[in-house]
Amino acid sequence: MHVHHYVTLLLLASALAVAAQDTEEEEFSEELLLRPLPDGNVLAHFHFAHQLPPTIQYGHHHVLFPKAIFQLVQKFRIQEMELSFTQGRWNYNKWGGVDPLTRLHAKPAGVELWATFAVPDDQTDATWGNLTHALSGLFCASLNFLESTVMVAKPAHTFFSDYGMERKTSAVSLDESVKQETKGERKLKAGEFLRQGRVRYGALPREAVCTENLTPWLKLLPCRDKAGLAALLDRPTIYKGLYHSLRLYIRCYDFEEHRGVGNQKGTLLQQTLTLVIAPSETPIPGDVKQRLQPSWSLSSLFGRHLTGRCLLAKSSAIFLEFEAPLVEKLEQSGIGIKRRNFCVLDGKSSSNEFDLLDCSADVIKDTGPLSLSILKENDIFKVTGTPSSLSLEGAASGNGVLVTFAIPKHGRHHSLNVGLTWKVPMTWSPVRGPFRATRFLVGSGNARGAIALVLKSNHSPTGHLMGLQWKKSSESESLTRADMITVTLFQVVPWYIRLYFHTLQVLIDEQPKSFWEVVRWMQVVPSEDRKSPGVMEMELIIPYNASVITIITEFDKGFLRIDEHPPDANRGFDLPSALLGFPSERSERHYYHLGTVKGSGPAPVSALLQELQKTKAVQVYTEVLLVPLATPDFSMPYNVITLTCTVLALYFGSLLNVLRRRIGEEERLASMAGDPAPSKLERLLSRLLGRFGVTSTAKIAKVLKVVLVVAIGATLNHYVSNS
Amino acid sequence: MFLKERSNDWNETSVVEDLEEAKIRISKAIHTVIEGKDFLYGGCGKSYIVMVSLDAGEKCARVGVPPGFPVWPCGLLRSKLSYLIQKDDSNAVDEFLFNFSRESYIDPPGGLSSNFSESGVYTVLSIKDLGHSELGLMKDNARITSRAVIGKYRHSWFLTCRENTFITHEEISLMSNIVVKFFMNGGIDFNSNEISMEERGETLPLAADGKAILSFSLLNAEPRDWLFDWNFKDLELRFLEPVLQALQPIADLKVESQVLYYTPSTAQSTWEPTLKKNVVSFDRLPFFVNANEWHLDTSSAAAGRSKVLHFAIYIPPAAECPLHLKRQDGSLSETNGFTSPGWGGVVILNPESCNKNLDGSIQHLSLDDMEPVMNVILAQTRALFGLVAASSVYNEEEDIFCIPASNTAFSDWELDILLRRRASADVASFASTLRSLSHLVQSLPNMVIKEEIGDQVRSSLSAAADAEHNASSGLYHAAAEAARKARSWAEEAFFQPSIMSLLYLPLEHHFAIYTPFFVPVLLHIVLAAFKEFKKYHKAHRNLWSSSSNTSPSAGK
Repeated sequence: MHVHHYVTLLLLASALAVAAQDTEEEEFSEELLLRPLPDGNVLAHFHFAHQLPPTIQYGHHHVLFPKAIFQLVQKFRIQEMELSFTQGRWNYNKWGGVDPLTRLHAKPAGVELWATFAVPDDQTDATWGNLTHALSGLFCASLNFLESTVMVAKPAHTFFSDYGMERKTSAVSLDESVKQETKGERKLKAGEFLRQGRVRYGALPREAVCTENLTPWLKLLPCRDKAGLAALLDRPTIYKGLYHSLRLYIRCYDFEEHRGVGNQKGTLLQQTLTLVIAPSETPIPGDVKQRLQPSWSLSSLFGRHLTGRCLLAKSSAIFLEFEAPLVEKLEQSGIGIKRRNFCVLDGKSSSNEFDLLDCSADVIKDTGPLSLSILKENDIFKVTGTPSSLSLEGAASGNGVLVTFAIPKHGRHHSLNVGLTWKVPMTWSPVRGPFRATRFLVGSGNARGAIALVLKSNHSPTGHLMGLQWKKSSESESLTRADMITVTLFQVVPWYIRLYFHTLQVLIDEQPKSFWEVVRWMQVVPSEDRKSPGVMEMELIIPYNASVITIITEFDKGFLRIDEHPPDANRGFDLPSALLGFPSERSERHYYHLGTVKGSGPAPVSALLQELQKTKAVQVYTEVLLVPLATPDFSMPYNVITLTCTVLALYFGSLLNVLRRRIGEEERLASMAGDPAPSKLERLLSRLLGRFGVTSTAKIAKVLKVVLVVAIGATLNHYVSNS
Repeated sequence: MFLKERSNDWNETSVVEDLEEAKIRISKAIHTVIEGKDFLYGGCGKSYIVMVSLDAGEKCARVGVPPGFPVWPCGLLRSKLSYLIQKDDSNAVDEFLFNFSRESYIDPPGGLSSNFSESGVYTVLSIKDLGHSELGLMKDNARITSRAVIGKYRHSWFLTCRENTFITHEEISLMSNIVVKFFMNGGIDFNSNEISMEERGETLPLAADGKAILSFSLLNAEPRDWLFDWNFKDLELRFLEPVLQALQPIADLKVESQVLYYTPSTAQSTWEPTLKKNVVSFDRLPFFVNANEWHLDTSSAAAGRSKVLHFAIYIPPAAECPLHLKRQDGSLSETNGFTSPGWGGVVILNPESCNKNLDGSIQHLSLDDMEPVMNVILAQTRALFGLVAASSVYNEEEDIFCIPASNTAFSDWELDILLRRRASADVASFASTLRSLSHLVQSLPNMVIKEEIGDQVRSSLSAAADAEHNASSGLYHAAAEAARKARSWAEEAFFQPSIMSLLYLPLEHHFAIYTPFFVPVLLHIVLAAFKEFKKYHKAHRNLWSSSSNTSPSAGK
C-alpha cells in the first residue's frame, strides 16, 4: 500500500508538471464520461475545463477564457470557488458512494456556494456579498440571498481543505497529514491550511434550478451549445433526468505569493454537468433479477446527434466506464478480464514516471484477454461507436475499465453514437461508502424538536461487496487506529432553529456513549438571532463494526417576524444538507493506458481523468430537512384593523344615537299619538306606501338635492386636494 | 488671439492704436458669426477674450491682455520659424510653435498655473510671407498666400503678404472662422441642420463618474469555415494606449477584449453580381447586431455603473465572404463599419481569401492585418465622442487644413472641446436631475425628505456654481471636475434609498386602512340624519295637518 501511494503521488506530480509546462497559452478541453449504473440508469458527466496562464505574464486579454469569470476572479480576488446548482438527490446506495466522481459531483439539492478570497479578513464579508450579487446576476439565480450573514457559515476546519490541492500533490504533505492524524494533531494543522477567516460557505436548499441557470453557464463555453459535446445538451432531457448537477469550479493561483507544491499556476475553471438519465427504452417486465438492462446510445439518451468536436478544444473525448464490480462480474461470466496487477505495481519502470501513464507494449501483452475487441462486442453486451483506446482504471476496490472515444473534427454520426446494448441480463452492485446517512426530525409541535442524523453501516452480512469493504478498511486502518473510523460532520442550521449543543448525544448501536469517548474534537458556533447561523463541526471516531450510529441534537424553534417569512411559509423551512466526511476513506483512481486503435495516435492528456486521479476523502451529503415553523395568519393585521374599526364605529354609533335623541319630545309625541305606536318597520312600510304621490315629494327632493350637492362637493374637494 | 506680423516703421502709439482697432474688428467678426446661433455644448458661448499682439522682430506690442492671463512671448521672428515655414513643413511648424509657447509663456505673477491656463488659450498667427512679398503681386490688398493650417495643439497659422494695410477684412474673416468653427465647435458647420446628438455634444458616452469601458470583441461567425484570433495585448499597446493617455483628462477609459465564436449576424446579405460582393443594405443595418448570440455584455461586477462602448470586429462566414456594407446613398462603405450612438461600433473584417480553411487551425491576425480595422475603430471612437470624422481633415471649401493627430487620434484643441462638452453635459444632467427631484418632492407632499438630501442638493448646487466660475475663467479641468461632482451629488440625492421606499407607498393604501372605520361610522351618521329628517318632516306635517283640520289625514 505504501508503494502504491508513493507511485500515485509521483504520477500526480508528473502529470501536474506536464500540465504546468503546457500552460503558456490558454487551453480548453471537453470530455464526457458515460457510466452504466446498476439500476439501469446512465450517468453522463460533462467536463469542460479552461486553463489560463498566470495573469502577470499573460495579461488581461483572452482568446478562450470567459471574460466574465476572469473579471470576477480578479475583482474579488477569488482563490477558490465552487458553485453548484443541483436538482434531485444523488442516490449513494444505487449509484455509488466512494468513487471520485461521486465525491466531486454529488451535491446537495439547490444551490451551494463556497469561496476562498485573497483579501484581508475584515473585507471578506463585503467581498462575499458583492460576489453573491455578481453571481446571481451572471447565473440568474437568487444567490443574492446569501449576501447577508444570516445563512453564511465560516467553516473553520472542514472538508474544504481537501480542495487545497497543494496539500495533496506532494508525497510529503500527504504522509505528514496521515501522521498527524495518527497523533491527533490534525485539528491544529487543518486550521493553518484553511486560510481561516477567508472562507465562506452558503447554501440555498430551496432554489429551483432550471434552464435559466444553464444558459448563462453555456455562455461561458467558447462553442456554447453550437458545437462539440455541449451540443448534446437537450434541455428537456436534462431536466427530466433523475439527478442534475451544474457546477462551476474556479481555482486561481494568481494571488498566492509562493506557489504551492506541484508548481501550479494560472487560473483553472471547471464547468461540469452531471446527469443521471433513465434510458427511454422501457425494461422488459419479468423477473426482477433476470431483467435485461436497458440499452442506450447517445442519440437515444439525448435525442440529439454529435457531429464533431468543438474546434477550440484541445482535447475532446468520450469515456465509457465499466466500474470494478461490473468488470468483476464480467470476469465471473467468463469474459476473461482477469484481475491482475497493473503495470505500475511491477515496480520496474518507476524511474520514468511518464511511462507509468502510458504502459509499454509488453504490459499490454501481459494483460492478455483484456482488449478492445473483447470489450467492444462479447456475449454480454455490445459497444457501439468507434473506440480509440482503452485504459485500466485502478481503484482500491478493484479495477474498472475505461473505453475512450476520441471525437474528430467532423465526425460521422454513426461512429460517434456511443452506446451500450445488453444481450444478457446483468446485475451488479455499486461500490458503496462505509456508511449511508439519513437525517430526520424528531418530535412534534411548533415549540421544539430534535435533529437526528443516522449513519447505517453498508457492510451488511450479505453481499460480496462487504468483502471488498472489509479489505479496504483493514488497509486503511493499518495507517490509523485499529478498528476505528473517523467521521467528520459539518452542519449549518439557520438561526430560527436554535440548537442546544449540550443535548448532543451520540448513540452507537443504540447504546449512548460518553461524549469524549467518541468525539475527537468539536467546534460549534451558536447562532445569533437574525445575524448568523449555527455551525457545527465535529470529528467522531467510531468503531468500524458499528452498524448504526445516531447523533441527536435538540432544538427550539424560533419565531420569525411577519416580514421575514418567505412566500408560501406554510410549506416549511428548508435546512441545508449536512456534510459527512470520512477522511480515512480515500476516493482515488489511477488510469493506466493500455492500448490504442491503430491510427488514432496517443491518448491525449485528459483533464477529466487528471481531476479524478486526485485523492480526496469520501463525502456524503444528507437530505435537506423541511422544518415546519409556527407561521402566523398573514391576513391577521387586516383582521385586527377591521375588528378595531368595527368596535370603534359601534361606540361612535351608540354615542351619536344618545346625543341625537330628545327623550322628552319623543314622550310627548307618543302621548299625543295616544294609542301604542306601531312597530318601526310597519310605520316605515305604511309611510312608504302611503307617501306615493301624496305629499311633500318636493321637499324630499329639495333635501336630497342639498345632500347630493354636499356629497359631490366633498368628493371633488377630496380628489382635488389629492391630486 | 495673437497676431504676428512684421512692421518696418515702429511707432509705439500708432501700433497700439492699430492693434486696438484690429482687436475690435476681430471681436465684431466673431460676434457676427456666433450671433443668432444656438449654443452648442462645448462652445464658449459669448464669453471670450481677444488678445492681439504684434511681433516685429526687435520690438513687439500687445493689446487686450487682462491681468492674470499669460502673455504671448516675443521673439518669434528671431527664431527658426521662418526657416520652417520656408520648408513648408506643417508638422514641424506645429511642434515648434508648441514648444515655443510652452517654454516662453510669461507666467503672470501670482497668476494661473501654466498647465491649466494653456487649455483655454488658442492662437491664430498671421505670418508675413517673405517669399511672396518680394513678388509684389498686389499693391494695397493683402493676400493670403497659403491655406490655413490648424495644428495638433492649440495653434493655427496662415501666411499673408501685404505692403501697407495693417490688417485686412479677408484675414479677419478667416481668423474668426477658424476660431468659431474649429476651436469652439470642433469643425462642425454651424449652419448645418444635420447635426446629430453626439455632434452637438449632448451625450457623451460616459458614466456619471467619467468612466467608460471599451469592450472589443472579435466575432468568428462560423468557426467551421475559418478561425481567427488576435494578440490583443499588442494591439492595445500600439493603437489604444496613446489614445487612452490622451483622453485621460476627459474620461477614465478601460479596455477589455474577448473572442467569440459561432456568432452569426442577423442581417441578411444579398449577393450583388456586378460587385461580386455580398452586400448588406443600409436599412438592414439595425438588424446586424445579433443580440441573442453576441454575448458582448461585460461582467456586471467589473462594469458597475460604467458605460460600455462595444466594438465588434465581425468576421463573416464563408458563405457571405466578401461582405460589405452599403451607405444610405447606395455606395459601398469605405470603412466597412458603422457606429451606433451610445452603443459602439461594428467593423467587418473580411479574410484575405474567401476559401474555407478546412483543417480547422487557428489563424492569427497580426498587427498589420489589424491596422486598417483599428484605424476605423479609432475614427469610430471619435465619432462616438461627437467629433467630426478624421477624413474631413482638409476643408476644401474654406481652404483650411487640420493636421490629424496621427498617434492619439485627438488633438489638444479637440480635447478642450470634449472637456467643455463634458462639463456642460454634466451640468445639464445635474440640472435635469435636480429638476425632476424637485418635481417629485412637490408631487408627493407627504414624503419625508431627510436632511442629508438637502445637504447633497446644496453641495451639488455649489459645485455647479464652481463649475460655471471655472469654465468662464478657462480652467476647463477644474470646471469639468466640479461639474462631475455636481452631477454625482445630484444623482446621489435623487437615488437616496429613503426616497425610493416612499415612492412605493401610494395614498390609496391609506384608504384601505381607513375604510373599515369610516364606512360603519358613515352608516350611523346617515341613519341619524335620516331619522332627524324624518322627525322634522313628521313635526312639520303635524303642524300642517293641525292647521288645516278640514282635510282628512292621508294615513288614517
